[in-house]
Amino acid sequence: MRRRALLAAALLAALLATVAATDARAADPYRVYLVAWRGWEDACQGFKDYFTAEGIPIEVIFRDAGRDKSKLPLFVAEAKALDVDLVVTWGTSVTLGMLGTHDGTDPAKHITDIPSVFMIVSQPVGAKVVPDFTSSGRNVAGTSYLVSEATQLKVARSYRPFDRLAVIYNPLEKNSVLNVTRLERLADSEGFELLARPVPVDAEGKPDAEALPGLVAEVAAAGAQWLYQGPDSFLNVNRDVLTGEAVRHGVPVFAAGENPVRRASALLGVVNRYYMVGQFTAHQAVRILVDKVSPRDLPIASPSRFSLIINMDVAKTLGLYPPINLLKFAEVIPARN
Amino acid sequence: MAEATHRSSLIGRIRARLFGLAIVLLLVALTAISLYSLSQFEHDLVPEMDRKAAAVGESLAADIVRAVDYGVPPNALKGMGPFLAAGMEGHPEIRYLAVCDGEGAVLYHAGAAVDGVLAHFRAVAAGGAAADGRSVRVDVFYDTAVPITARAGAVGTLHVGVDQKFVQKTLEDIVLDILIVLLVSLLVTFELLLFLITFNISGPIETVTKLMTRVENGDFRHAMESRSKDEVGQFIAAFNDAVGLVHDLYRGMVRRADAYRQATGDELRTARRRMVAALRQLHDRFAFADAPKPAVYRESTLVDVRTPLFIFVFAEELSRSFFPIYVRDLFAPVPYLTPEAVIGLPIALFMLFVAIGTPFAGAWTDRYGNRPVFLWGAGLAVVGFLGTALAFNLYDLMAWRVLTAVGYAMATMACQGYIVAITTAENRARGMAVFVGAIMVAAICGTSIGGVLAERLGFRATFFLSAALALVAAAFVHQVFRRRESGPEAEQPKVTTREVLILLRNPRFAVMMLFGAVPAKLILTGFLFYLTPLFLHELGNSQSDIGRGMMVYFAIMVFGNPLCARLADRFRVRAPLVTAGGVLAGGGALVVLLWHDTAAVIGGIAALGLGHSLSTAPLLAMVPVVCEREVRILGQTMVLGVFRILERIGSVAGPFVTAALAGLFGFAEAMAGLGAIVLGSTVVFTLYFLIAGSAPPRPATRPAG
Repeated sequence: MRRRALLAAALLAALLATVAATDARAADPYRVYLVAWRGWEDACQGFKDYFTAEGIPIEVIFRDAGRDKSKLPLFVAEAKALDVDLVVTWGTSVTLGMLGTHDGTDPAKHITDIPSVFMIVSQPVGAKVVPDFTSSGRNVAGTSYLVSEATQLKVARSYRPFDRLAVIYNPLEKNSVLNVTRLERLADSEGFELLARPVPVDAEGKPDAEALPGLVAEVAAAGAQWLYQGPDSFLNVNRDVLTGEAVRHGVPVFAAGENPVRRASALLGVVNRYYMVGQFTAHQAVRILVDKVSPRDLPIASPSRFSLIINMDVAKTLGLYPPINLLKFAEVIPARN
Repeated sequence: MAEATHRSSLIGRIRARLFGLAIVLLLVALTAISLYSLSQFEHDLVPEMDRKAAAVGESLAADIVRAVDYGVPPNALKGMGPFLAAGMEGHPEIRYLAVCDGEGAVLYHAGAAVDGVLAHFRAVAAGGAAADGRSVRVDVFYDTAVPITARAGAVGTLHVGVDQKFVQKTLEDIVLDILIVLLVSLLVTFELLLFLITFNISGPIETVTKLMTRVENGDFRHAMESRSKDEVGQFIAAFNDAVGLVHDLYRGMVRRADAYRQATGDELRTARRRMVAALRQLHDRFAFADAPKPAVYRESTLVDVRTPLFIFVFAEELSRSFFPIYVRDLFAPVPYLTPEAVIGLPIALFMLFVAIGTPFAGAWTDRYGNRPVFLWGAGLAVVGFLGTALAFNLYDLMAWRVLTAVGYAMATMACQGYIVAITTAENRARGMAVFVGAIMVAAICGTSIGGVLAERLGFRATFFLSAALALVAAAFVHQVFRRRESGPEAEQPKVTTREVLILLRNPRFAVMMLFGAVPAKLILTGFLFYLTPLFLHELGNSQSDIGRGMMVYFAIMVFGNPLCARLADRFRVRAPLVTAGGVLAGGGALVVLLWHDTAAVIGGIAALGLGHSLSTAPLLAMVPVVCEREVRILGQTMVLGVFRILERIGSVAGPFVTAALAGLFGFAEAMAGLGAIVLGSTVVFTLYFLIAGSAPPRPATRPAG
């Protein structure tokens, strides 16, 4: 009985403290300076909605670079002048422009004293925003939005079991090389065969898009059951050729991004929704603003929930229909006819 | 049970008729109500089951429709096996799921073989049987057909097959629950009728009869206490008036004689002398009270103690069938103990504190009287039950159980003390039979109805009910027990280590304890109280099932134990009965290992009940024979007292030994392990007494069994 009374007293105290804290905050909302690369989109909305849902008042000062890097120094100066509580950056370009690299920060050109959080940076390590995922080592926190390779493979396996997986990648992109290294490690531990094919580099030192159909034909002949398209800029540009050729050879493509599924002929995409990433980033921001955790103590993490996108046209063409259990929580791009 | 307290044939006949009639009427009424509700239930069960089957089917059909609408051809759906299997999960009554195309051919299927239902599938597809959400009995199933209709048109039908046996099993469960409620209602009615009739009618009439016999012999010292104004009360009042009148007349004569004492004159003196002589004659012939009024005569009956004891023990037994499961729900780790031992801990603690509390409770009863000790004990138990109902975790639960255990020891010892106080040496054995009988009947009722209650109301609510019942028992005692029972001094021997050591130096006594009495208690708490609820729960039985299963033990004991006691006395067979009992109890538990199922456990429980029926009384009867010399030194009561205390070591050790076995090997193996322990002990016990004989080696005065 007595313990129950004590418990009630403790709850009451906690409640009163919360009310008091909320009052104090309502009078003085956190000021967040949010810079986007191409306008207010889902990640920004998710970020803001999280604060609303949690009942934490913020004032968002929104700035859009409009894909123009030259605007970024102005934003740096403005954020410093306004003396905001937190800076949030969207995308690799904005992040590098505002926050610099982990080994090359200039207090004159970059934000250093204001705590910052980045989001929608596909390769935070590759882009040198952070030295590794455990800590930025500076006044910066952030989120990754890629789903881990192991999770992606698990989803692909539940769609179509495989023992031979192909990956075509641009050897000049560090991201892609790291990505393939991790796939090789998974091939060892999970016991499948990885057919990794780098795109040949032409005389000008650029990857040769003309070689793509040949590479696809080669892995198809080698019996690949899936072709994996990683977060590779070169392939993203050439996604139509890559996925189109794969379908022609009867090999399904699963991609680490939305575009190959939505705008080309990849069968399956395993991605994090920008909205969810925004929410997860807001969670990190709350840790810094409310819980007073230093940004350098926050590891770079990605949301635990992910989404799958299935292109039904491709499924029909290949005769590879998704298992019914996967259909239940996938976003399906319906067949056009 | 009924004739235990009285022998008057008239009252016995009245009571037998009354009980007979009441029980028959009750039985007829309850059976009628039960049958009616059962038919209603049966009427509602199938549609209810159909609704559930249709709901499961519709949710699966919706997923299929979604896939088809996305463009997956119905005959090319992928992953249907795991999908349908997952749909059956959590619905044990659903035996198969089948997706059929427009012709009724099976496209996808999970669960039991549907060979016997194929024709029905085709008939549904052909429109012969409507898919209206109502089930059809086909083969051994109830088949519910759910149409699958996509945007582009009908795809086919999803069939959900429910086991006909499931319906039967559900109905059987309900029937058994109703029977339990019926049985318990009858037994409780019986207990209450016994109390009401004894307290209000047969008790007073019997007392009046006794007083009339005294009046017949000229004893006018007592009148009766009149408790009511009804016919019995008027009758008692009339009797009291008559006794009072005679008494008054006598007192009047005494007064007048006194008045004559002052008189002078010869005539008067002669008259006075005659009068005094007459008075002396009267006084010698008859007995009158010295007070102006006859003293109020009170008599206590065994029923006074039987009813509250029944209610109190009933309250404790309510949780018997689910207590270990409740403990597991509240589990909290205890350092150095395995989880199994932790679950056994509250049971062991309860046994320990009943054992420790009993001698203290006995001493308190001697000092303060039965009434306050029972009331305090019941009060402690009420607090203990409430605390158990509200327990936060294992730690406070154990504290509450200790409180309940001390309350239990106090209440039962107070009742025992009351019986000792109101009985004489000749009828004490019958008094104790009332005591044991009340406990056993309460165990039957409590265990079985406790399971039903736990299933319908939940564990915590059942403990609240226990608290309320303990309170009712206290109210009974408050009303019925005399403030101070005057009677023969309750002989509660004070057991000290000296007596224990004297007895243990007797090798026969030591063997009897270690290989007879202690293993018997060990298997009772270990097998029945600890393992049975947990194992039957794991085997998928409902709380009602578990309660019914455990009731078997008490039901066999309540009839078997007195029967075997009489047989043992008549034929003077003791050790062989103990052996037979041990073999039965141990063998029954061992056999559980062979089948690993519910029937085996129930069989084990029945064997345990039979075994203990056979061995309990003969074992106790062996004590005076085996300890002939010690009985002469310490007295029989003391020797039996030591026996009772020592055998409790088995009760306390039971949960721990069992927990160790269960932790290492599993539930069924632990049951078998206990069986092996009892069997092994029985072998040692038997061999020893075969070789050494029951009586000590000095010229035996009594033939040993």
